Amino acid sequence: MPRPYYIAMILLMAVATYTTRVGLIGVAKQFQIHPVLKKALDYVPVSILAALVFPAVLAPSGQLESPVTNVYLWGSVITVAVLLTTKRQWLAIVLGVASLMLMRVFFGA
Amino acid sequence: MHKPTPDDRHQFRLGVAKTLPLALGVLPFGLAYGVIAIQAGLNIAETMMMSLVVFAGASQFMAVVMIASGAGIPLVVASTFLVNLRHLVMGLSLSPYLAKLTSRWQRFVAFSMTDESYITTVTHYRETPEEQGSPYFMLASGGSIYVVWAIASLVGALAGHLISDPLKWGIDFAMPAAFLTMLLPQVTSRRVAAVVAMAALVGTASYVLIPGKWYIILAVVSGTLTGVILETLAERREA
Repeated sequence: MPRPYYIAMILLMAVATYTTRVGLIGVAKQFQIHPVLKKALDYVPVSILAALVFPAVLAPSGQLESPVTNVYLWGSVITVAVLLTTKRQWLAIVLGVASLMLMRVFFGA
Repeated sequence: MHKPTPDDRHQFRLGVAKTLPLALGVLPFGLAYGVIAIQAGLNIAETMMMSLVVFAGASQFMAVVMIASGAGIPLVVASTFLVNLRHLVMGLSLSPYLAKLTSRWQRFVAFSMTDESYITTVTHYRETPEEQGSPYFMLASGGSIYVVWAIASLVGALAGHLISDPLKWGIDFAMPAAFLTMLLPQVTSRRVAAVVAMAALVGTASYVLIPGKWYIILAVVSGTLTGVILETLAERREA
């Protein structure tokens, strides 16, 4: 059974999280979005994607790694190469991850 | 909320299908969360309750690490809020596509918005010609992540002390790899490439230098500013 202390903590965490999720999702229903902001919103998805990819690949342990020994970087190179040549998303992900795991085994990185 | 039409069902199926690569990427993180939560001293019910009602990977990881080091409720909750502030930007970015929905629908689909379901959903909405997005797509996208996250947390919690850290094997790369395969097709112009370069630079630098998830917000601010400035300059040149 969950203990009361942790129930309280988890429920408050849930409220804090949901507040951020619901906070602005309805904003375009109530307000006209300024044209400049609308323009800016076009670039939000690629910016977030860049933020989800590059730090994870260039600094997988939280610190920048040498590009030569960074298996995440080489795994990304293989992912991109497979995607560009085959245009198949699944294959690119699977071969990227598999290559990284193999590099781990062989180089112990 | 009306009765789902055949098109709603189609959008729902599409939402599941398009989220699948990222849902699989979530798997090792859910496992790792379950393992770490049990090792931090939570029991299985608490571990699962957090995954089911909070449903936010990064803040759950942070919370269990903080619990293990003896942090109290106010600090854990405040940190959760800060880590999740990036959701505000995502909600804002989705809001034009959901503007015609009832507030009830908006509040409903908001619950399951994660990094993964946001990216899948906004990419889909931008690709389709309709001005408004289907809530069924977003529901399916968020729902897929939710189901995978819950199952993976449970397996991790049950395995508990048996496995050390599933993120050490290399399958943690599935997530950035999946995001990478989504990013690449969107780089269709030099302007977008410049936005990506700026967001990558600022995002990586702040990831290394600033604790927490601020790097996502800083990457968004610098990336969108770059895009707007370049777009405005291009318009001036044409005028």
